[in-house]
Amino acid sequence: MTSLIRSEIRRLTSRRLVKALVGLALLAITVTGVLVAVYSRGFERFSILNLPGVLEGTSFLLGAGGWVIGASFAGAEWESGSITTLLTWESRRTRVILTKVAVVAGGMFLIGVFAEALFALVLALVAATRGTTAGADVDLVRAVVTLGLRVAALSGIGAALGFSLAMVSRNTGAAIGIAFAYLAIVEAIMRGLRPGWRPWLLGDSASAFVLAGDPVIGRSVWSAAAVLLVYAGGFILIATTTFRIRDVT
Amino acid sequence: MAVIEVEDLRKEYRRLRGGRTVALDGLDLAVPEGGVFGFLGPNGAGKTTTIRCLLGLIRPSGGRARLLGADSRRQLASVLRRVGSIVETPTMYPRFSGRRNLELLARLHRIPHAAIDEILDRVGLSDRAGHLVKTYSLGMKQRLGIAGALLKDPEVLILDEPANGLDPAGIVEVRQLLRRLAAEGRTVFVSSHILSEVQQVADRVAILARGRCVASGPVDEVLSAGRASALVVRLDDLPAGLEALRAAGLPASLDGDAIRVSPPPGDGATITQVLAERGLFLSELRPERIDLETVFLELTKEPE
Repeated sequence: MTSLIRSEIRRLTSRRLVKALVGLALLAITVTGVLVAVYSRGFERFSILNLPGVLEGTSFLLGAGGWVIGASFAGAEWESGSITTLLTWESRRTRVILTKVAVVAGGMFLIGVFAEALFALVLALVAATRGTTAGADVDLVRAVVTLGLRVAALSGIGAALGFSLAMVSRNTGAAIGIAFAYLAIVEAIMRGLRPGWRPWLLGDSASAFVLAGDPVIGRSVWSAAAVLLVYAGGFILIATTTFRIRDVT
Repeated sequence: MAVIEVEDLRKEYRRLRGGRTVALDGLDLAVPEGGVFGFLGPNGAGKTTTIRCLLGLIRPSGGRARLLGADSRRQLASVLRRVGSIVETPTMYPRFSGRRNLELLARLHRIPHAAIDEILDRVGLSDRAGHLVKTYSLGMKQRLGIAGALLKDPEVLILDEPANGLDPAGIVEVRQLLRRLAAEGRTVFVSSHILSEVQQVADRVAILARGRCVASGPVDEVLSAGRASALVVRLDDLPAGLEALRAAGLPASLDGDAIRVSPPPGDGATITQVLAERGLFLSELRPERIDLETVFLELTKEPE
């Protein structure tokens, strides 16, 4: 089992898409830090109290990034056919798929933690040197840390969902397209036609989770987390079942 | 002991518009330990389907496949460490180098790093090992696939068309490699449509047609089972020779620029004696050469 995990970690970290997205994240953090520093003056000095709001804004990017990486982690296997080669080395399919999803979701969570921590540090540095840290206290630190962890967790859940969809569709593009169509169209329509369903929608639950609860839809952070985990668990279960019974041709 | 046992193996695919396609129709096969076993059949005969069933990649509709005694549906994981394989065109990650691909596989079974260099050298890929697989030619991908199959130092090798895409020199190398692997005591199960290659390298063959095994056994036995053996006779005056042989009660017939005696008499000397008595002298007397291709075509031709 550990050798399979090590092999999958090596594969994840060797992927150009992962390297490119991490590189982009670093670039974005640097550019944002520089811009905030440049425009932080006078009455518009950057206040560290704005940090949670900025980090909340990254949740969509990290969630979507996780989804894309998760989808491509599975899709690339099917598109290149390398899943066939892998199964001639490790035939226990449940073990294979659960290891893969754990590695990609865990990997995206860690990348998310790293990105959020780095972003928070950069902005805290800007606030300390060119803005203001007035009002910063333990509660702010706690809020920033838990928010960063929630955003990172959302990235991991996004990766698990994207991965599972790509394992079923056997295609990266399909997994990304389905996500876009569902979140941007289906859920938007459902929100309009059936407002009572909002607490159960993926997008609303993700939003409530990041914002530590949403009184409008009646979701606490924990109940939102539970809905997201049910979605992720359900998708993983479907992907595992399909992977176990379908022919690999 | 048979390292590969297939009993009444069936595989059917549902068609989109109803009906079923039968890929394997009650296939029986036994591959003994050691040597090279050629698995032959025309396109669509079920060779790759059989290999996929053996390796647990597809679920048979019925029957049983066992590899090294392990049921390929339930116990495969316990023997996979001892089995190296290529299924159709070897599939590796195109955006990783050849070496990185082998490293990822080697990690699965804790195979030491040194083995990767050794295998790359063995298949002649050392110089290009650091290049992305997507820049490889088909032949190089095939070599990488063979390297992957050999990485486990397996007892059994299952190779689906290993000479695909290779140039003539590469084909000769693969042939020599297969013989070498068999000489090391491994069992090499190789499917191919290049019959002359299989004839040169295999100890035993099985011929597959329409999802069934139509012939199986040592190459010589399969060759002679396809049609009755015959003697080919050449001489200057063919009509006179034909008349003399027929008059002596031998089943002779004209076959191009020679006479074919089939079935031949127990002793070839009978023919020389009959002809010599008529003042006819042979320029050639030899057993008819039957190649695998002839037998293959006869056994696999579609029923009219």
